[in-house]
Amino acid sequence: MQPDNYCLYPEYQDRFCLISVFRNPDADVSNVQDDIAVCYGCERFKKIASRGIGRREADQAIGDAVIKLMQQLANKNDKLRQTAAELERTVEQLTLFKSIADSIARSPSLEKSLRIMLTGATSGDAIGFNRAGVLLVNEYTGVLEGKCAVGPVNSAEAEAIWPKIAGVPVKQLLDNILAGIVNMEFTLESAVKRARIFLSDRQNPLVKVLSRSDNEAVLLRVADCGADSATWWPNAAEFAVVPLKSEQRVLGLVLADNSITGKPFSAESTEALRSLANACAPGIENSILQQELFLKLKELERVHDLLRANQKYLVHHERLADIGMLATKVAHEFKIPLVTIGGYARRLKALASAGKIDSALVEIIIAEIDRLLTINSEILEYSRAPRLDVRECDLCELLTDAVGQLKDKMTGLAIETGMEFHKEKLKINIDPERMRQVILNLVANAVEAMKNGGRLTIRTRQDNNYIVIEVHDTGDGIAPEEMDNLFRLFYTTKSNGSGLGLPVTKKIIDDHGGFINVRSRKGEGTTFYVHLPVPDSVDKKMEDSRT
Amino acid sequence: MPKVMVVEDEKNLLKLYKDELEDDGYEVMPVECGRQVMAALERFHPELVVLDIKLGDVEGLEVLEQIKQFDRGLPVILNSAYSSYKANFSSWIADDYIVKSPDLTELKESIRRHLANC
Repeated sequence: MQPDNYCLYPEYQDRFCLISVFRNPDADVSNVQDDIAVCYGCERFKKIASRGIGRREADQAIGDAVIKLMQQLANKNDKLRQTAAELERTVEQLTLFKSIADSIARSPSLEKSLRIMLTGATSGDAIGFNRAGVLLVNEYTGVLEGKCAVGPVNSAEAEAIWPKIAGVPVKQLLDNILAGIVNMEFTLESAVKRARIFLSDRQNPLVKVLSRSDNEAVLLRVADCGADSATWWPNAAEFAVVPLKSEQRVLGLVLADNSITGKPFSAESTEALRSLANACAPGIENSILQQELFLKLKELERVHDLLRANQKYLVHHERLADIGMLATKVAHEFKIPLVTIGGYARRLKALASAGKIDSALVEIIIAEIDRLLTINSEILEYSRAPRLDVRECDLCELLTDAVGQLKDKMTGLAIETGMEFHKEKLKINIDPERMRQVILNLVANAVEAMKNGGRLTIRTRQDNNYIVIEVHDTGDGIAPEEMDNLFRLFYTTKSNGSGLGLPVTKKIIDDHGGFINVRSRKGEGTTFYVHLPVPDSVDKKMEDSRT
Repeated sequence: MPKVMVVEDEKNLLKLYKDELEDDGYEVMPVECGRQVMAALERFHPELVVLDIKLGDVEGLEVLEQIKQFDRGLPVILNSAYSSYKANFSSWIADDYIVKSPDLTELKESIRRHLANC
């Protein structure tokens, strides 16, 4: 900087001298000393001005300088106005993007989220592409698939549809999408849905964009993106492509073009497209994750159902394995009674011819046959699949009836009975016939144990989600070594028992969703505890066993 | 009358054997419980024992051995619902093995034969 470029006056010493305007017409006058009155008193100015330049010329020169100054200021103003306009546009764009991001956050479906984003890409001045589409990565199939597109497929369609949506504010279009109102049917969408690009096709420029580490937009020629690209993105020579990426994963690509109006791609619009994609990516990832979660949940449910069916099959199968063993045992168990019956029958025949029939013999035959029939029906009962005929019953009534059936036998053996119900009426959903069988079995066992008299007590109580029936006898009790074998098929210490009573009892209780256990002390007596689930939980198990 | 002991834990079958054999002229001592066999032997002094193998309380084959130890020459006829015990060599010290049947002919024949031999 030459010394005479600065003003000589101390208070303006950091400002340029007006002289510099004379010397250099292109000088930057933003820092010029503009108090002209001062110049008239300045020695340097007077010296230069007096070099053959008259006062008028000096005034003219000063005037020019002022005009230039004002022009520069006006330029700066223009620049500021331009910047303000740009800022306004940016704000408009951000507002638009915010509405879009909000709408996506509220969107119930992936499809709607995508459509919202693409509507954003094809509207507004900042971004406003003619057409936009989305391809999503399908990780399971390893394919980039076309999912959605917005925009006319050709000029003819553009002429038909653009006027319709011209006046509608973007917010309205977005709300329509959320509400499920279709703004427009786009042929382009059915076309783009045909896009299938294999992720393994690394040469495909679209696949290359996916693998880039940045999110920059690229301009690609449609024809370069696959042999069939014209079928899924028709009537366009090139498109802008921007990756759709979240923090965690690459979701896909957003495509956009101006093939209808032919408006050239600008850095501003592709940049806006990129911003739009980035803003929408989290919401879209959310929708994708939700969808995946839903599918996984369905799969889990299916597997769970399979497992339950399998479990029932296994339990049934276990029983069938038992039954295999059972068949052998049955064959043996049947033999003795058959031998006995047969023997007596022959004897009867011999006696009949000699004229002596002893009715005691006949009774024995009848008893043995009954024994066989009992074994038979209990085998059938044990090996059948669980199928209960559930009805609402009063448990107290059922218990009283069952005990009543054996009343005579008990009086004969001097057995007292006591019924202690915790409620007068106990409503429960059970199969009454089978449950009666259970009670009869337990009571009969109790009676058997009290051959020399005693007391039978039947008690009910509530225990959390179960109603408990207690059958207590003051009989001989069960030895500890026999407790394990109580519920085993054909196991009995009684020579007349068929050995099937308790296993069937246990099975019936299990089928109701309950359980049975027992406490006993030799010489003191035995108590059986039958737990039955209360009404609501039973219904569900009944439904299961009915299927 | 020849004395025959019948060991059988099935009450009704025991009665059948008793009735049938008594009709044939034998004096029958019925024994329901395997544990009672040796005591009954000493009291009753049978000339032949019909022994069931599957007794509730003790192993029939053990009782067989006990009887044979007591008196080697006392005929014991094994009477079982199963034929499988024939393969068990412990059963071979018995004098005969009859598989239970509604038809008692075979059993009676065996009893007659073994008593005749003594």
